[in-house]
Amino acid sequence: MNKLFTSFALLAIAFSSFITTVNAGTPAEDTQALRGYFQKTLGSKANLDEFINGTYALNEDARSQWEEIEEFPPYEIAIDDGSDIWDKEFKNGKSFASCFGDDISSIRGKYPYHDEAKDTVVTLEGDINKCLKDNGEKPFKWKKGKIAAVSAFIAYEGRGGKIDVQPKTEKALAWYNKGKNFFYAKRGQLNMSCAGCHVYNANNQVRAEPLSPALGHVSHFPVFRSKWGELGTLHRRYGGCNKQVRAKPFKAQSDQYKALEYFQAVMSNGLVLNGPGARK
Amino acid sequence: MKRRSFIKSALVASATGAAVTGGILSSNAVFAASHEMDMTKAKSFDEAMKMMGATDAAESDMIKIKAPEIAENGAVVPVGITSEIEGTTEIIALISNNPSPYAAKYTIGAKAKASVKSRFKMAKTTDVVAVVKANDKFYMAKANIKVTKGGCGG
Amino acid sequence: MAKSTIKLRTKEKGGLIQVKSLITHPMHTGLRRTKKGDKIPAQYITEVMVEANGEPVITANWTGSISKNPFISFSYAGAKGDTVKLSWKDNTGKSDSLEKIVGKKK
Repeated sequence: MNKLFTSFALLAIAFSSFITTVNAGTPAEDTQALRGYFQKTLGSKANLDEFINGTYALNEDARSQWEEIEEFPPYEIAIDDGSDIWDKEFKNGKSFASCFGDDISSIRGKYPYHDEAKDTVVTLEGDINKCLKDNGEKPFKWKKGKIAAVSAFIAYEGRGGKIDVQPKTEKALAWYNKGKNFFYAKRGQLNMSCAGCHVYNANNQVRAEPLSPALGHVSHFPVFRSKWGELGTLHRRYGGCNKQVRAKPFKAQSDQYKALEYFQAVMSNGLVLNGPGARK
Repeated sequence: MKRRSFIKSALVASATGAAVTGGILSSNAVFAASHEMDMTKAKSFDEAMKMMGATDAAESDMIKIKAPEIAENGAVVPVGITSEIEGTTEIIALISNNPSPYAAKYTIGAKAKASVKSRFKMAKTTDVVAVVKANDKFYMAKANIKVTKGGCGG
Repeated sequence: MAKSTIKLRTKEKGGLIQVKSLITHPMHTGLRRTKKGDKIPAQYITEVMVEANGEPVITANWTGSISKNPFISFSYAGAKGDTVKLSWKDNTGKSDSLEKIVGKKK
């Protein structure tokens, strides 16, 4: 643990001279700037379509292991579980289809979106639990287990769709900016931002591990991490990242993480949805 | 630019230190209720080879091991073993540095190709040794796999 | 009916049947402990048997060194219409099996 601390601390110290100010760009300008940055730093490796595969787009040895796992990925078991949960009737005789409709393949691509009336960002997991509550069922726990299984099933059915999240209204833009600020703000004892690792050090290593570029992060969740030995949601991963920089993690589905998901989705607009994913 | 190379070398230094301490997981069991019980009792590579009666196994380049150089996660390391030796009846996988190195044996039927893939646990950086039995003789090949404890995780 | 622990895929190509399987199983080594410090008893698959039309094709003897939710892949000389059966048993006496006809959906 000390070693890890040192590695991060060195990164933090070294990059404190690169203080990045969050400029007031529009979503389109920000997206272009981020992609331009990766184009410049990653060069020929920065094939836009490949960002959905994270570090596997950049590291051949890791990629070959990932491809082996994808030959028969462990998340297939969870997809089956999710499908069963989807089909199961609630006590009132309804099921998830009563909230989401019967066209399962169109669901994943709708999220996250900004709800103007309630002025909040709505996530897929948020709506899964809302559906349960609205039908008198007990909501699932947020980060893993049943919610991840249903989310994985929906993601799997929605594979091939494209991320398309457009903040158009002033309120939606405010959420976007909130997410953007979160992404660039330093936090924790190590004083690191999301961008510190996943933009400025993308494809550099923290000890033995290459850091994934931020672009495409949201495309493949929920993810079966070998480290977890199970599926977890995007917000579970956010919490883990925050802990790694010695910051107190926010709760899954907190406004902070919903805003972050919203911002990251905008950055990844046009990329293919390829969840659920398998990661180390 | 100087700054960058400084970070890199600092990271490399700490990475090497970390790799040595290794050990994410412990593997293999002491209790097994099958005829394989004896093999899992072998606590070293040499002991396992002795118990198999395979100490005279000849190194062969007709055995191919498909494995990563650096394991992404020691709990799940994909390994493929292919034997091009005529008359192969058994493929055995040994993970030298696991607490019980004997990991798996595949008995190859007449119709099957002598090529198998599975995913293995590796406690630390190790050789993976593929032992092949063909016409009652043993052959072997090995590959080294680096297992490091990761830096990031939730 | 309880769900099968076995997922089995077969694919015919040029006279060879590619068999891939993923089994839901914890594969406990017996050496790990829970967060509380209690030992997790060993529970791992000791034998996986694959037969084609009743004839053994590959038998795997496994140990705790095989990863959780184990995977196996291999191929054999066969044809569409073959019945492939995979069965496993573990050191605690649990077992399961599944049959599949090559080239047939479900």
